[in-house]
Amino acid sequence: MEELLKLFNFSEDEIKSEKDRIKRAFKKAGIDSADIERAKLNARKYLDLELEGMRKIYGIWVREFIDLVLAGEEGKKIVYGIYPTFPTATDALMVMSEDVYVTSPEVVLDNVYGTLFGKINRLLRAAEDHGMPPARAHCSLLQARLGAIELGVMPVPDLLLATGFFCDQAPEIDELIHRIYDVPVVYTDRCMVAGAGEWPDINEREDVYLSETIEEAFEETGKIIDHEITEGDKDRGAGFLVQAILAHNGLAEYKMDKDPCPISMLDSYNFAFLGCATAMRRAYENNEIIKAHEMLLLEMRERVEEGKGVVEEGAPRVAINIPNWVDPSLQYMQEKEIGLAVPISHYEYFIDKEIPIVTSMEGMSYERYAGRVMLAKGIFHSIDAFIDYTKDLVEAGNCDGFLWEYPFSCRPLAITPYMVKKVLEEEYGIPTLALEGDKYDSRFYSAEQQRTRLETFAEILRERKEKSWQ
Amino acid sequence: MAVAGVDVGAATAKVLILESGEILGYSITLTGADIKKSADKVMEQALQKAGLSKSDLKFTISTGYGRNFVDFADRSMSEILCHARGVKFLIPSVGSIIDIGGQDSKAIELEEDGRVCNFVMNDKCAAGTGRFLEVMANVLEVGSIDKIGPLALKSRNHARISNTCTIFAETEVVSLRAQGWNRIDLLAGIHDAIASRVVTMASGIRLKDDAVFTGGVAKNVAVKKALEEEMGKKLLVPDEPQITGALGAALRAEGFA
Repeated sequence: MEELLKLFNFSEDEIKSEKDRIKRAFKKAGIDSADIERAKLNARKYLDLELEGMRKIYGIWVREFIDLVLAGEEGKKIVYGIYPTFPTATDALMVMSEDVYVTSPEVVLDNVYGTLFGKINRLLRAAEDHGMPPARAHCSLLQARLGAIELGVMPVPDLLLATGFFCDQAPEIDELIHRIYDVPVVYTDRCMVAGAGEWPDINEREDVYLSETIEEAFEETGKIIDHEITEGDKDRGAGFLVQAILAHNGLAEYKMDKDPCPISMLDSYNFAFLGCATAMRRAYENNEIIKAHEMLLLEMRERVEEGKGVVEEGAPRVAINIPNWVDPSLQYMQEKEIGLAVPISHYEYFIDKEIPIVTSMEGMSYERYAGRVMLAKGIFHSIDAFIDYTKDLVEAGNCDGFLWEYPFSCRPLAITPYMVKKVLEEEYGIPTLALEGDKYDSRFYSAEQQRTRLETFAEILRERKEKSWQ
Repeated sequence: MAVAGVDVGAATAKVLILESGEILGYSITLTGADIKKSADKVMEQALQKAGLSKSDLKFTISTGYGRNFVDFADRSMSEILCHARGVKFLIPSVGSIIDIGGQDSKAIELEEDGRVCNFVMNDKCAAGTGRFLEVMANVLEVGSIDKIGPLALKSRNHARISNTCTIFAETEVVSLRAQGWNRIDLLAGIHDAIASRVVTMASGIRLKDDAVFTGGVAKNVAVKKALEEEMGKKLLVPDEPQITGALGAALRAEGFA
């Protein structure tokens, strides 16, 4: 265990002082010595442990996992927000008290219990015992939420902050958890009326509607967990949020057009989600996130100056939607084996059109601001915005194509790949591969199954780039 | 100097020897369980037909799902680009390709200059592949896979067979057989099912005119007819549709020789 923790920059002192907690957390999560060995192998093979910034960032994830597992027995009031949309609105909750633990648990579970320990299937199977059979369009990310509660890997929360902002499955799962465990649910919602040509402007009706539901949800939340959410909490939460977004944006902006690509997308995703999707009070308060970002930026600069990268210079470059997560061998294959450079993803970078919205909250309430951070994103705004945003990303990353490996069981994302592909190819001339997969459930798709398609796509892009097809 | 293309597919392994754009010889054999052994064997056969030895080959490219197991290849490439190159060589006006092999099917869209600009492949099931036909030929005790196409063409009352899964379709055929459907009508339904499956998959690309049908299944006249009816356009079939991948690999090998 110590060897594993040291891979992620845990100090001797921290290991000593935290040993009992970590042991308890691992025991509760069913992590045994074989799992720890597997985690060491996975970390060494798939994570860029040469980079101290990356080791720090992954250390934050591991600490977050331990906090999540133990939050119940440590007497916290527990609130689960939902991925991918609501965490921006939970930052105010995160800072309000040491006694309140707020997170998006599935993000932590997939990244640590899945990518590192390779145990996510255990949670998925547990959820399947509750009427969520596999390959029936159930979101496997949310299956992990239900399965982890069922197996006691994470505690039953005191409150679920549900949202139908982007996806209808999220509130449905929370409804199921409410029915099984009698957990109160507070809802936020959005009216999806934004349409063609509006992005990056935010639709007024959506703006008002979402912020009002967030306001109501905060009021209700305060009553249920018996903590008033003060304006001061909101200010601090907004401060953390802006700080994390700007730090992350700095990294993304720096690396996106570098050739060779200095870090892999799996690693990029790890820091992207620290800033934008999870709520981790301790990491924010100790300034750990900012320090890790700074370190990583420095290390990336060194790599770029030395001409080092994770793929060869001149490799075909693709923008992607979301990287593969619970099975890191897929992302590894794309970059290290097939030689595709993946410098940019939908979730990673707030392009120029979004940044002015994200960094400005002058004269507006926190609720309005939190809603706007989400509404501004091209991937959430509308299909029209999704297409334009993707085109902008491809251009910003000097990419040769767009690889959309969409999760089969993700209803919002599985519906549109071929519509988007058609427009990107025919209107903008961007080669696009729509590839069915499941980033959160590795039982249905393997690296080998996808190899031929990805190799072919890489060869097509390489030939277009080199004009050497003859 | 001669070059070779090796296409190791799920069902068959093919080698084609080329020199200055001229085909010197080719051979096709069953892949079987030992890919390396099959590749060696089919290479020997092709060399023999070309009247050459291994040392006469300047460059060899392997393709197909077994491409990474061909020890003697100088490099490997995915089969889609090789098929496109081979077909473009044989039929220069080609706009798109339907390739149905032993265990996969693919639709490829080409630009005018022959570059691949789009492709789709079956990703979960063998229902639109040669394996589907093999299973059905077995169930209906036709004897040889080569007979099923001509037999199916005799049908005047095609049975309706599911196209979603090879195993379910097998059960369905057994059940229809028990209900009294004759073998010929069932075979016709099976061919309709494979065509429907493949055309649905191919809707992911633009099927242009001068569409070419390749792969081992292109030798089956009933699949060709069913595909043409389903697509509403004629398909061109090369004289030997099974070797286009190996030919494309060999043509690409010439670029390295």
